[in-house]
Amino acid sequence: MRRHQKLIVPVIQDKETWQRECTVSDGAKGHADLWANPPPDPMTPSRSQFETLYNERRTEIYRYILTLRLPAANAQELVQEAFLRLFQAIESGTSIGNPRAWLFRVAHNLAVDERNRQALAVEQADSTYLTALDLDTPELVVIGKERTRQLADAIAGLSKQQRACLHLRAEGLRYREIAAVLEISTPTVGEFLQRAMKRMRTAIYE
Amino acid sequence: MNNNFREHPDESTVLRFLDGELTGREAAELRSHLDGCWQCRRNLGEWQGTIDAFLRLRETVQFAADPPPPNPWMPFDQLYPPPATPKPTRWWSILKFASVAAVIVVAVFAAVVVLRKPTVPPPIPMASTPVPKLTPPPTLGTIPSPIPPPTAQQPPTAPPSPLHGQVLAAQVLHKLGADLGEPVAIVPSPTHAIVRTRALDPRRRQTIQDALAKLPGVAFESSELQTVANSAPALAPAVPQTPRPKLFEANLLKRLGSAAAVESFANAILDDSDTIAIRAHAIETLDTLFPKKAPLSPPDRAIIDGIVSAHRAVLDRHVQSLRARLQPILDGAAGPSPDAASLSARATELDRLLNAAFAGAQVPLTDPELAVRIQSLLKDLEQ
Repeated sequence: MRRHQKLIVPVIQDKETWQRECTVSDGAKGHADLWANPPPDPMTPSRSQFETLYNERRTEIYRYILTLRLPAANAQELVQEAFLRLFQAIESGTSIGNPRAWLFRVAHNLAVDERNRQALAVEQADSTYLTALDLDTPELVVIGKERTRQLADAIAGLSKQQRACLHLRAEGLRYREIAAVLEISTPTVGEFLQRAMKRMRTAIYE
Repeated sequence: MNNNFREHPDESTVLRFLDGELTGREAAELRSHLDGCWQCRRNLGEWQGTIDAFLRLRETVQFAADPPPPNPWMPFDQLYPPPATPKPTRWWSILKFASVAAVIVVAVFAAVVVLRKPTVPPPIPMASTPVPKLTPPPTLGTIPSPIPPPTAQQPPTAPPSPLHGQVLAAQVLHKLGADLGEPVAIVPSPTHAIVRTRALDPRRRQTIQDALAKLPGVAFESSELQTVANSAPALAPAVPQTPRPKLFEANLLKRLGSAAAVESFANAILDDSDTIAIRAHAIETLDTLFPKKAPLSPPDRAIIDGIVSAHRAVLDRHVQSLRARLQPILDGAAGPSPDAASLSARATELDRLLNAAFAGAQVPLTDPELAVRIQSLLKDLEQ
């Protein structure tokens, strides 16, 4: 497994966030509260909590890395590495208040490193982001084919950071969590999202 | 933001409302306004429709096109093997440990005695010289020593300096990411450090306050949201859309092939510039609070240098990114190297020029002058 030098650790000492992020909803079965049996140190999750986090959250991290236009094999490897780093960091005593945001951040950094390594191929892929896909699906009829095409073009025209903000928001991250992932300020997240939303709205309604 | 939404709320406020980023009071005021305003309700509906359309596109097209993981996910126990069971302790290992510890204690004691030996006034007489009448040897405690004992070199329980409190506060704010443009400031005080927040989200404010509560000599202050919101200056009017400088536009279109690609390129540049400006401002703030001449202890100085290095690393990365993007379309001469105080000013100027080049803002420069100036600022920021 590759080793990357950069590992930025956002420290948010917030047990409530831990509880929320480690609480896994499984639909009809109700909530499996990972804090039902708290470990000796309330900020140090147990192995079973690690495992649940890994099983429940890996898909969304994988999905996010794919939006950064990395090949699937790279994306899967980076997801596993991000989780491994999380477990190692916590075990070594690092305080991580929000493991989900932490995972997105480490995965994002790893993906950016990987992108830089594959710069040319990724730049080419970026220019066809979404627009090369089949947009003629029944679910999109309500938007309209032409509008859908315009929306896809608008998203393809967003900057990487605007698009990253958009996808992270769609994954349910709050502004300050997105800010921690992308190493920017919270107001900047708001500005990026506003620019992205404005462009998409224009594509749909004007 | 408009006062109590007597006027229509701006786009930013409506979007933050939809994202649950307004405070309870702000959200309530906006809801009250929406109850009586058809125009804003339609506006809100269009934003919500935009979100719906994006999610629909994402779920039905993008997710469907996302390749599944090529390999099965590594089982958790394989990814993160459980720690090996510790071997049972054996009696001889305890004995071995005890003997090693004893040797170390004896060695340290011997070293202490040897180190203090030169301070004993009378040298040991040689065998050939007559043995003088020895007086009883003084005890170790009464031997006069020209070198004070190590503990005497450090001031006993010196009160923590206000600067130390400021360093600790800066460290905590950096860890929380609260030094990247949020309205949080460290205010110097003769007696203690003050961390002051203004118009911050209550949860965020609480997080910062909790983190600072553990620090000695650090006080926390916050001002009310309403006060600041009322006194905040009105937002600057939107920059009118004007054509970009022809030199850049022609070059970019030629290189990138389409207007959408040019737009994306320009956005990426402006994003880089935003990050550079934020990090430069953070460095400048630290330089103001903890100038090189400030009487910081070496550990405190190391903490500040570490934070500055972290900001610098991000700044450098984005400057390099910016340079790599702009290199093909810029050509010019280098300027002088900036000092720490002007770093932020140069980053701000770069941001302004890039907005002129890629977002249509006005500057009194011709295209070639603009290119030379951007090139020069990039070189300055890299040094």
